Amino acid sequence: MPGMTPIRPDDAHSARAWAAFVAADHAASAPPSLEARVLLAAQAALAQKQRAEGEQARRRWFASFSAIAATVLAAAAWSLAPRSVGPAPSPTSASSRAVSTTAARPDTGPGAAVEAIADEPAGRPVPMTNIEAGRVLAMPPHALLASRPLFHPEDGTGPIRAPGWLRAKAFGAPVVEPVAIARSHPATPNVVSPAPVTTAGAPPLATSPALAGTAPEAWSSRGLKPVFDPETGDIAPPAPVHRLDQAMPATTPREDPPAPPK
Amino acid sequence: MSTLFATRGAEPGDVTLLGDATRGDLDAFATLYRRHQQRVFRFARAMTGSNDAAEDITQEVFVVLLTDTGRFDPARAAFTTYVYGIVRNLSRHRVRRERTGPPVEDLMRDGRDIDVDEDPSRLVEGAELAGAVRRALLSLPSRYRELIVLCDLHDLSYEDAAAVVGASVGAVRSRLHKGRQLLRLRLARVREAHQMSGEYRQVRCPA
Repeated sequence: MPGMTPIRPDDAHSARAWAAFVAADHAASAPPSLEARVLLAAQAALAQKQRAEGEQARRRWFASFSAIAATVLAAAAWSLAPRSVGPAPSPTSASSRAVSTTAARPDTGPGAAVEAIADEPAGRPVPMTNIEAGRVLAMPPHALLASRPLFHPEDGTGPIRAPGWLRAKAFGAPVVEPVAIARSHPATPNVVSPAPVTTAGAPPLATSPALAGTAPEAWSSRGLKPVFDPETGDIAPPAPVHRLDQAMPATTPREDPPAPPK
Repeated sequence: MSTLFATRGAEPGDVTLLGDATRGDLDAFATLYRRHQQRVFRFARAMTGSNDAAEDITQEVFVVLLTDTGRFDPARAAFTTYVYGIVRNLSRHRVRRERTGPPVEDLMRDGRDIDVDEDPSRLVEGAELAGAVRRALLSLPSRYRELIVLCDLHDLSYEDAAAVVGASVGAVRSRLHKGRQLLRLRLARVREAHQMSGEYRQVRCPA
């Protein structure tokens, strides 16, 4: 139980010792000079705490005032900025320039915007932030769209396909030149290798004007396996049939040289 | 929780005094100090074994009370428990930092004036006995010592002591039992040593 002395009652010496210890402990007290010392320390601690709180409040107020001032300055710069983009892309005017660039004005013609972009000095452009890029994508300038149309001008639904044709083979494919088969066996007819077969379903690789001037090593006999185009309605070309009678005869075996005399 | 320091009559409560002191009322702080300084000083003295360290800890406790008022939650513990917890932490920190044996000699002076009418031999004997118990108490591990001081000297309940040391009531009971056993053993050794020294003194200095 609390308050019970840990000394057995039969141990008179220990009981007396414990009683003397408890009496001495209860009579103990802090010296009177400690009160003045504690009060002085408390005053100093209070003053320091109030100083720290005041400093913190002052910093918070200064941060808020700086944010408000920056916002007001940015708004003033945006409202006072000229219609076109400023000539000097300095870091201080980057935000206002971005704002003036992204802001779509109804009286700004496409020529003015193109001229403004052309007037920009060469060098590394100031990158846009994500917010500015989002504004540009959400409200694209008409001048840029007119100069670089991305969508079809008639229906406006699909993108304009890039001119050109799909290539049916890789540029790094090996070149195989068609050669005529020489008659080497009397039983087999003299078959001349036909010209590269162009099937109806094959893409007009050879006739494409875009690829007419390409290097000759780009062409090979692999045109026999054209890419099937379902839009043409044609059936895929059948696989070539290899006949035994048209096959090239095997070369005559070389005669072994005569064995040296032993 | 302990209601030892509850508001008595028209006297303001500890929490009220603390709030006033935090707002700069030094009179409220002085009242709070006078109300708790003795227990704070006694607990720190019993834990550190030094009067000087107890004074320093007492000052530090009241400064912490004044500056870190946000850490006290009246819903969690009583103000007394909170104060005892601060004293305990500061005492342990002080003992760990100094790493020196407690100067028991200065504790022979118990902070009270000597009564000239009292028998000097009884005074000396009482001081010796109290010093022997204090020495035995300071030789205990701190987890036993703090509970003996709180429960047997400061009359705290098991629940309040458990809240101060941050343990369960069962752990407090177990530690208290073991601490009392250890204290009894140490006191027996001290008594044996005292008897042996008395016999030695009688042999060396016969009357």
